[in-house]
Amino acid sequence: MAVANPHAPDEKPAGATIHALPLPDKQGDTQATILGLVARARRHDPAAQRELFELHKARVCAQVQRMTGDPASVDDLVQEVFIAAFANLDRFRGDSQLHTWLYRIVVNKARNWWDSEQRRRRRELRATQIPAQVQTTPHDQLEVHEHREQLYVALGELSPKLREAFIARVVEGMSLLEASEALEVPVSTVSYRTRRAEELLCQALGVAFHGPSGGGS
Amino acid sequence: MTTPRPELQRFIAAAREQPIAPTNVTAEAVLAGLEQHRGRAQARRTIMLSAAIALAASLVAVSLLWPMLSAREAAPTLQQAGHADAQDHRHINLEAPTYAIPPLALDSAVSLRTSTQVEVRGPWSIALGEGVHELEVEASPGRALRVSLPGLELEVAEGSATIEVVQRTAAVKLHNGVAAWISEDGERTVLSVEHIELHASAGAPSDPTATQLAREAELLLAAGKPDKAASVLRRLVSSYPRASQTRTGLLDLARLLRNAKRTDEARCAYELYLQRWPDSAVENEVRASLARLDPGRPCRGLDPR
Repeated sequence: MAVANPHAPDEKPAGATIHALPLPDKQGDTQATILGLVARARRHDPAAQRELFELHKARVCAQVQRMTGDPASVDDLVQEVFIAAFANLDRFRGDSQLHTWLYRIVVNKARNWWDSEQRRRRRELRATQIPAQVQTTPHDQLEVHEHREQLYVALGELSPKLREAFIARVVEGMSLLEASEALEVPVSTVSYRTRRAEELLCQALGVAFHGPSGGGS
Repeated sequence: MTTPRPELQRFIAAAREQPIAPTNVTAEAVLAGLEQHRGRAQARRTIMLSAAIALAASLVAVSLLWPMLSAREAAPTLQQAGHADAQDHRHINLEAPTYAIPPLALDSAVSLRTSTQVEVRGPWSIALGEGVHELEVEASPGRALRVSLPGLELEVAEGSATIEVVQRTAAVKLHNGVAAWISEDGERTVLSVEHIELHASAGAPSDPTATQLAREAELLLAAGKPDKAASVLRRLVSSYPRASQTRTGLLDLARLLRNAKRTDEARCAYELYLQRWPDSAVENEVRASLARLDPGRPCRGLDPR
């Protein structure tokens, strides 16, 4: 499959649509509706909080898993994300989409998760045990599984900023502008961090890296 | 457009295509967690508030008690004072607790309360250094207490007296009884009894001694009444201008006045201290404190003109 050039400023990565989850807008909910729910949730209206949770849980769940690569941690992190979101809803100014604001919370929670040496060691241990655990899977699935585990082990060695830029841009498939808004850093910074992350990942995974070429489309 | 290296694409695709299992987290679990979070946050706020209040109370208590505690730490012990030289005597702090003389050192007819050093030369002979000493002697046939003071000798046959020694000069107030100065050639000059009327009527109010005033000021400070303490210290300074209690009391008074933004009065207090004790060991500190105050009206005693 094709993977988008992460350095093209306004281009949506080619693979992004494959993983796009239903957004509130696509379900017919307008931003005004979301803001109305937010206003009610701020007043501790449980019905509004439930509705916001149901609208965003699948998206947040996928983001958490792609950010950590660890399905076992998803439930805990999803719960932490929504608790933090509802507890700090007063800080949501409404100048960005709610899902962008939620993504920032996901990034912070995932950063804490990655920072935990204990979890990192568990992940590394799990990576070494993969062949024994998945002996019955077909060869191609095993290979994909191994690649994923190797990638996340390598991601764990990156600095949080590089890792977050790479995941937002390459794994999540955000455009540079979307990643810039979600990570609250300039576009040029997202571009640099993504390129630098790719370079370091190539070294870690034993893949040749020749740097981005061409001027994009 | 170019893409990352094909070899890297394999890894990226593996990450992007990982199956996303539906989460088991429910809205009810999130809301329950939210309630717990709020409870913990509230508890943290309560603890922080309690800690802040306790810290503030501790700071207030320390600031009030600090002068008293530091004075006590600075006060010499009885034994240390016995070996102190004349230079050390200038640092005597009469806010220190009163020391009791061991009962066996003096005759049982003699009772002495002192705030500083005393040399007991025998059951009926003592030498007093700088400080305030309250003396009581019961009549004993054929015996009198010999008191050595800087530059003179005193003999107390019976009665009570307050003796203050400041900068190698002594003042004796004989409240009742019989006492006499003894000159170098052995001639005795009988002291007149002062304040004898105080003992004639037990219920009548008496003029407080310098020690009593200093203690009263100390208690008022500890009780958080700096204004009243300043009034008492002012009385101490006026009533006992050369007393050793006044020496420290004047510095306390200056500090209290300065803290109360009564700058002119504070400046006068510092200046008065320097006038009275120009060779004080804390002269430089006093001058530095004085320099930090704005210049103002000239002083007459404790008051600006």
